[in-house]
Amino acid sequence: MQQQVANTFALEEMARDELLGEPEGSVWQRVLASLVRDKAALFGALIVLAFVLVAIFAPLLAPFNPDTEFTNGLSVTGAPLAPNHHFVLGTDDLGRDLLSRLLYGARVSLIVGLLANGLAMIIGVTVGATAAYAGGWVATVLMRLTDIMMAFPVLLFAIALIAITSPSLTNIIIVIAILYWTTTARIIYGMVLSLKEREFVEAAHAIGASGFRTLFFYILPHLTSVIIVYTTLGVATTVLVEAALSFVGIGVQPPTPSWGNMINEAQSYYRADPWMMLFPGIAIVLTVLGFNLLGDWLRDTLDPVHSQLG
Amino acid sequence: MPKHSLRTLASCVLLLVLAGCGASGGSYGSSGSANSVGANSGPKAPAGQSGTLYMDWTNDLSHLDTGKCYDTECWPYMYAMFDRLIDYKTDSTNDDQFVPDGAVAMPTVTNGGKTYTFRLRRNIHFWNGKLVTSADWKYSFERIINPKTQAGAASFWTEIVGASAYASGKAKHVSGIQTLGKWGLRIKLLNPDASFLNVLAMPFGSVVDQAVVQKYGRSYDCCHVMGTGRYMLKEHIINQRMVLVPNPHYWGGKAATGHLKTIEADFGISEDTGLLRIERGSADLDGDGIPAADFVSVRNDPKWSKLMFHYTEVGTYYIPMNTLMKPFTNVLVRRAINYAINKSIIVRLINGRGVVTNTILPPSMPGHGSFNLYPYNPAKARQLLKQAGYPHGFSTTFWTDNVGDDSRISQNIVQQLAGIGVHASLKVVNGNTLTAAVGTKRKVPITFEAWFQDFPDPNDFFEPIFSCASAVPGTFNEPWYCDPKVDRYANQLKVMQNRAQRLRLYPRLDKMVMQDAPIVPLYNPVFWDIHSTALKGYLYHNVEEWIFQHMWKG
Repeated sequence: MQQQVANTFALEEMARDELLGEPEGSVWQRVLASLVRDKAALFGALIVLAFVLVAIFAPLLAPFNPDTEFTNGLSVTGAPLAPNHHFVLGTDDLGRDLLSRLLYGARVSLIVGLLANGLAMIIGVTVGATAAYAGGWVATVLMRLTDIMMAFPVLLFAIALIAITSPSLTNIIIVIAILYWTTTARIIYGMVLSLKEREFVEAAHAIGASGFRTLFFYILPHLTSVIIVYTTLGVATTVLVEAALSFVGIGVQPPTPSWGNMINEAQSYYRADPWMMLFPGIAIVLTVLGFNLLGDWLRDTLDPVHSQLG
Repeated sequence: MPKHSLRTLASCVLLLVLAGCGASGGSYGSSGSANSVGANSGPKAPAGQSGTLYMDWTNDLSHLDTGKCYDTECWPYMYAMFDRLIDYKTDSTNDDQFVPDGAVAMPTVTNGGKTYTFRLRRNIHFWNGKLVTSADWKYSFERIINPKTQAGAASFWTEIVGASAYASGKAKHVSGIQTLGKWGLRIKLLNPDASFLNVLAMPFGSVVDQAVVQKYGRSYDCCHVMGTGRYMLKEHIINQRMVLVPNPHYWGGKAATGHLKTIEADFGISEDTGLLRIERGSADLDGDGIPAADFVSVRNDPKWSKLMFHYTEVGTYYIPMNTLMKPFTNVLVRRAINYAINKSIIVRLINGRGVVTNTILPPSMPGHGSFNLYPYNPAKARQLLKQAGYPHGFSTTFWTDNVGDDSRISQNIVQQLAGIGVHASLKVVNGNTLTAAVGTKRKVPITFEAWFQDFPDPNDFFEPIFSCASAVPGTFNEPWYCDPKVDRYANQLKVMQNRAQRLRLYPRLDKMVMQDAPIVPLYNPVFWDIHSTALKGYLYHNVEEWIFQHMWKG
């Protein structure tokens, strides 16, 4: 029976190759070629790569400790310094080097982006796939729960949750994950609903695979590309949400630098010392843009139907 | 009293200038120049009442109840809405003289300074029309002494005969507060108290309506206060605004209620937004002061600099350490923290708007004496920590509020503490939340606070914040400090009749407390205020703060 299932898969792949034409080169070569051809995606990928490298190597790249308050980092009247030869991007209101804080701030964004998003994915995939596969009252309950969660104004809900717990990096990650699994759940729900009618699922049942095994070992692998795409796109969202929460003062707490709390600290100085807000703002914009461009390209590349239609 | 924000009591009135306080900013007129005391000499106030004075605050008032209000934000509104037996003269001379308010005249003082007898006015009514009699005054004062009220200044009232018995539940009334018919009041003290009139002139000494207080219970404080003063509460929408209007039945007559039709306090407005609103004419005052980010540019602006005022304040910013919470139970740890802080850096962070201090009493407070027990020495700090059993430092939580520069300054303090191995995580909360937290035993290990004079007597800097009697729930004794030996000495000074000798001995008391190091004195602030172009008659009093009845919109 298992041999028959494997044969079914091979037949499906042969049919697809016959229909679409057998491509040349390995998968990775084809992916890389596609990326190079798409200038916007390449730009996005380079930004994402830079962001990740900066976040990982911040201690090596930063000229100073991000928390050090330099006495020569303020003017004689106690005002922040504009960009100069010593402090390349200037200093903040406590005399700390802005460049160092910007580089270390990338770490917070990366950690939140990956962990919060990853956790949201796990929750969303579990809820959506379970609802679609189980059907019946399980699907009703889970998808109505999803609808309820989607109806909440996310930022306000996040503020309320943080107010109940307390601002910290861990709580931010958990809160963002709790609030952002819903979109993934709905997408996965729709896709699993369609996939569970396929013959390979029937075949899996025929060979005695349990519901859990069928769902997680036979169905979900087909959703890998979708999960990758939405994870990538989700990082952009979580970076923005973390920045927003830190901006309103309930995200990452000082003195730990995050782009959001750097903008929060800079908002009083926007008239006198605008660079304090400008550089973390540019960092957020570029990072979000990079992940969005990369995510769009991944969606186009990994979704075979969409890529061929293109 | 404690700060609520950067906004604090101004000080350095003429009296203090004469006492050699060294004030450089005792100006109250729109010129902002030193040594000019008085309101604007410019346009005359209009006849009648018109216009709304808009005042911005970051946070809502902590209390409207005169039994609980004890910070610089609610303070001026208490003087606006309530009457006391006596009050300060609030004209441009600002010389801290008393004038009768609820009393017909200043009291007759007999029995070696221990008995105060007042004749009461017969035409004072609460806003609800009820006539105020001696019974109302007696109730109001007993309410302050009642521990259930949790009045922050209750310790000032314990010198009244029978106060202790009443506070401990052994007596139904305070025997030393006696009604003499409907229109007389006598107060007997255990010992003479040179500052007792100042105590009576604090908002805690205001008359309130017992029936209303008891009817509304907890909601009295936020929403149903009942006063007799120039202005009455029209509405208070929590965290949004509070509106006062002139009291049409004020005993002093319409002229005494000033020239403003409405006084509106708007909450939830940051300092930055407040300054923008003043510049655009949408607001007239910002209670939290000028933000550090804009200070230099505003000061250098030829138009706005003319509308700025600065006052060397009779106040001290400091770091209190909770002596009931480890490791701050150990005096070596507290001294180490004292040695660890470079105070000049902190003053620089606030654009130089302060003077470094090492004492509890500010220089402009009578009884001040200079000394420095803990000059900046991080090596010595680390050595003391090692001696105390913390060779690798320790971890703690540094509480601060979200008002003005407090969070920034606290970040800097945390950074400096890290230099000696003390890892403090910063906890930023709303100003009112911090006030409640520090008044809770064993909740706040270390924080950033300030104290400003309630009146120009040095006892004001010891009794409410360092006495054993003040170490109770709701306190402003943030270190929860209580040393019976220090207490005895402070009480001796308090009742001393020879003022000159008394003032000479206060530096010794200051030093005694600082040897225990419950706080790290940081700086004495210089407050800079600014008002809108439309606001005229700006007057700021060293105790009562903004004098609304002198102002008008032009």
